[in-house]
Amino acid sequence: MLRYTLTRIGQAVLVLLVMTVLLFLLINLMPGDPVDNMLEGNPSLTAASAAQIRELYGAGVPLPVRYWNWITAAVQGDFGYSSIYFRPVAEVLGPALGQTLKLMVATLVLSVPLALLLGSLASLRPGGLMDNLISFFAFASISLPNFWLSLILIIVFAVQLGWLPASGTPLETNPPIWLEVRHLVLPVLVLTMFFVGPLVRYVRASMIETLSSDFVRTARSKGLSEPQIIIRHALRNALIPMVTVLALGFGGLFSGSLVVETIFGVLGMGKMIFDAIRYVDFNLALIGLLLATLVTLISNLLADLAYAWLDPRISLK
Amino acid sequence: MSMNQAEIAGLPSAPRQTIWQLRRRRFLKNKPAVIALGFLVVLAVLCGVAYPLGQFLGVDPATTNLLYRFQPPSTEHWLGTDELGRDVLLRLMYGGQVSLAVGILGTLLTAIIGITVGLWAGFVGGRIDAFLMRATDCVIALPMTPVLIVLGAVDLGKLGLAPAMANSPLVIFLRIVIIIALVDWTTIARLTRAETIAVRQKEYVKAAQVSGARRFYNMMVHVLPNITTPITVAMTLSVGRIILFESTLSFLGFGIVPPTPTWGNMLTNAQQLIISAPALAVYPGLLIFLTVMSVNFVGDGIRIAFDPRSKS
Repeated sequence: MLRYTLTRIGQAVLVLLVMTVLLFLLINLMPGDPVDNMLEGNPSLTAASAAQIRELYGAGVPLPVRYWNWITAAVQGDFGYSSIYFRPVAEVLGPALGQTLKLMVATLVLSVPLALLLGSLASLRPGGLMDNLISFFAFASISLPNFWLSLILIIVFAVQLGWLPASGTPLETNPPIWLEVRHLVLPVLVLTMFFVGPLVRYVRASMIETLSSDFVRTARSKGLSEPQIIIRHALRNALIPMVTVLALGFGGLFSGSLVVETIFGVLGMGKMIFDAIRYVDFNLALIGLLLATLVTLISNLLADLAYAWLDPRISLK
Repeated sequence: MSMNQAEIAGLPSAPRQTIWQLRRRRFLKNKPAVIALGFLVVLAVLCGVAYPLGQFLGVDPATTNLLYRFQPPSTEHWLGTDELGRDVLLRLMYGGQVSLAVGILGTLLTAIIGITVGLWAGFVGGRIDAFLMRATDCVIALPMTPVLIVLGAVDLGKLGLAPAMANSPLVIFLRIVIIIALVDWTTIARLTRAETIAVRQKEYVKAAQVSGARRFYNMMVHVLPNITTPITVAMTLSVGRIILFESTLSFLGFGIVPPTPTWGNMLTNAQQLIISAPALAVYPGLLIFLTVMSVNFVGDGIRIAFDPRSKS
């Protein structure tokens, strides 16, 4: 197990290194360069100071050297300066990450029980009315464009009914918890709808398989009640591989929240990355993307490890 | 005259049918899939007649008329006009052409990349396999949406393309297809590799190898035709996913850019109009939703119909 873990971590680190190169190249292919943007925003900059800034940013230095300078600084915790927030990138990242994590946690807390409930209900009678309805719901969840669902929810709940705010961030500087929660209801709802579909399908398939296994038949013949069989025997077994699915989905959720954060104006990682790309903030975009990659990598890694740990039959090769 | 054993013996024989007849029968039994397929056919035809309909109504979807904004449905503008006075119905139809075209072309390109990588990795094995699979891992680790946006923001000028060409509608269209294929090929590659490894061990492939079949010939003639079923299913499902990617990118302003209408970019401005004209936010998204849902139902139908183990 230890060896397997170390190998997988080693692989993940290698992938991360390759990603830094890939993302660095990509970011450098974005239009314009940071100094041009600065000159546009501030016409009083003299040619001399522009040249100075250019030198500071390392313009004219060949790409491999620039990459080396950037990566050595980044490893030491120096992520550079954000040109849209006028603050060090590290300072911008913290609050944004916190905000995104709030969304993620709320979505997980909501969608996991929902998926368990719907998935088990559907598995009770495959092909029945309940199963068909729930499968339809799962298909809808997979097929819904989340930006459109956001718009529709805003129209219905914020504009027409006026029940909930249309933005994800309260205007007050230090909002009370309940206010913050109210603002996060719609974004979390959209993310849950986005996240729950594949989970439901997974729980359903896994439960159908488990319910037809021998130990469930034994439990039935012992005379256990149906709820007891389902909750204590079947669901617990079906849950094991669920951990992997959840971990794998987490990376997707993190990246999918970009759209939701942008529409609702939640000041999280997704919106930060989007703004950084839109306003050509090279340093911020680069670190933001790298962090998002790291989240995906770590969740994939955890998925693999959890799978091997929970199911000893997996060969650790 | 040929007679089979059953006829000679005078026994009732099972109706003979090819695998495709069987699959078609099983597919047609699946009501949601059939309805979804019907919807897609109708939709494709409707989008296809956008030009003649515009001619018939005497309406040009690109003409803006600021004195004629937010018109309710009329005999001239069947779904009314948008925030620039353009005909909503015709723009939806042209947008549908783009969305469907991106979905289909993107899937084809995705499949070409995925099958090439998967077949090569699975059949050759060894170091090449290890290298290709690590590369696949790298792409899978990419955060999908943010990376698509960066790719959408890439300045083609820096890649040596003339500005006039980089901004032509055709190049913008092709670039969406290409960038989506660049991140979406991994599913098909992994699937193809797994299937290839399973088929590689089969006697007929070994026999061909021993008889001196070249590696490429063997891959194309003996392996690929025998793994088409799961690939077909995966491709159908990826059409829906790609349409979603395209519409999301276009909505965010990094995909197909106006004035070319797509269902995604028709929603870009809808956020400002949700109070004055909420209907404008409903139609394009509803079409994306119904289309992707239908594609997924058809894909699921194909999966069930093609899988001999599944109960019909």
